[in-house]
Amino acid sequence: MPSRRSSTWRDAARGVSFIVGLGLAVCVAGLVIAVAMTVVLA
Amino acid sequence: VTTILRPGADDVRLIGFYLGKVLLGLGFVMLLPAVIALFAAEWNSASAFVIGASLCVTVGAASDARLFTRRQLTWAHGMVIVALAWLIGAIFAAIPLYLSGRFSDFLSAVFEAMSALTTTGMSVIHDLDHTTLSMDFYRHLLQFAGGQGIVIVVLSLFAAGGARIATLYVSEARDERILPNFIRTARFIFYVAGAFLIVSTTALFVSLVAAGFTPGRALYHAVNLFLSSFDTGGFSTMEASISYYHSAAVEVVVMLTMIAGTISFGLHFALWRGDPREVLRHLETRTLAITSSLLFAAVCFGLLRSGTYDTPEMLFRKGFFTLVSAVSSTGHQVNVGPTYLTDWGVLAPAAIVGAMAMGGMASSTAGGIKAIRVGIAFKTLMHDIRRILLPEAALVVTSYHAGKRRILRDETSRAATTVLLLFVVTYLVGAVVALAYGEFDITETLFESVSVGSNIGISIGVVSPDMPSFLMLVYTVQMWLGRLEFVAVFALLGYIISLARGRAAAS
Repeated sequence: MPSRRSSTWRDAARGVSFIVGLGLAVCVAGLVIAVAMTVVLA
Repeated sequence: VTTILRPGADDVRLIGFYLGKVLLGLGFVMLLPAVIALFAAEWNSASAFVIGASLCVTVGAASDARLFTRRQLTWAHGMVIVALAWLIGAIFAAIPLYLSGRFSDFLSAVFEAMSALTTTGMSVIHDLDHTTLSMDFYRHLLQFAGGQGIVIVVLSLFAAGGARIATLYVSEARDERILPNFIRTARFIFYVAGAFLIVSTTALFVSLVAAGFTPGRALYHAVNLFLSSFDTGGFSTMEASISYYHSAAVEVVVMLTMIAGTISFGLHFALWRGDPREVLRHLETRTLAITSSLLFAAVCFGLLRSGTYDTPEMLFRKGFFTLVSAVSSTGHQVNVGPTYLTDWGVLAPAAIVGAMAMGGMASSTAGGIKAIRVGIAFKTLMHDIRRILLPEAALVVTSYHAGKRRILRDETSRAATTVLLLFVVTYLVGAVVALAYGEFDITETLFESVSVGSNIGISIGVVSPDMPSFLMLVYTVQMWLGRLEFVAVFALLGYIISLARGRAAAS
């Protein structure tokens, strides 16, 4: 693993916001598919 | 016919020397809860930690003095050390647990220690809610040590090792010396963990205080929750796990911490370097996002059909939390274990089993088959289908993005599918052994076996303080195999075979 420059709060914020975004994307995509399945299989 | 060389006394000495260092480290890990025990006036726990630490330090120091060697560590030695470190580490780590008197026998304490060091989170402790603060903290600290330990091992050893090992581990081989790589890797890992410790513990502290906890208690729970969530361990300070808190804020923070824990450190590195596009293009991110979305859709659909929850909020708090807990291989629960099978219908628990089997990303503390292997297995399938459909003379090339554009090689495909198959076999063996006792049906034993083999920790009740000893032993081995993803265990087996049957090297 290459050495890196010193950390900043912006680095951490980018990491956290990516994680929130990934979680939200999975949640919303899953919900949309579930609703679509419910409609199709109704 | 290939000739295998028998390892010499020097090799065994080298392995013993580094195992001693592992025990020294474990001894120091025990000193932290010992200090807490002294401050909290928990004298029995304090003495248990002092005895455990003394044994670790004595054996560690003896091997340091008697087996000292300046020989260079190779990746083959490293693999054997890793496989043995998790075994011997669990046995020594079990000593304070056993002395706490909260376990039926020493095997139960070893099971708990293995569960901690492999970041599984299954527990066979008696009366968790009334255990001492220091003993509970020790369980969580062991998870942290085991979790951070495996990431260092993966990044500095599995990924940096010989080409064959690296392929089996689905990473690019780097021919680096282990130790410098090891130190740099360790520094970066603790850097990331430190940042998340501050962010996550603060958020959990605020959430717990808002939920009515006193500041002191909130801090204790927040630290423990961070340790078990970020390291995707899943131990909990209360028997009711996360449902004890009845707080949506705590659940959201724990969820985000679990997602952070399941992201590979390679991608953490890319993220922190300011390269989110690289993270989004990575095969593992895409596989994890797509499969998690589909599995969550199945959970939602199953829960809607079974009518278990009637509000979207409960669907999210129960369904999505459990999915994240499963796919990240953490094992935190917001339900009482058996209700996953009794109240959730058929489809939702099946999706959870699928999520547990797959697990999170490689090079993280997550367990299971790993998203990268699932992604490569899918690419392999697509590759083979294209080869069938195209004319025989056509050259079929399949590529994927992992750090850079890579061509799918046959060895990578074979290695990914082999490990995938080994995981499936392990799940089935665990399920069948539990089935032989005649107390549980196949859905229960399969759920529990996948949870154990993938180092998840969600339990529907097969694992309990009074479970049969042999089953406990099988589960302990499953946790060990799953954590080391078979790679290091194969190296150990190869080493043992060459010790017995190898030809002595000409000197």
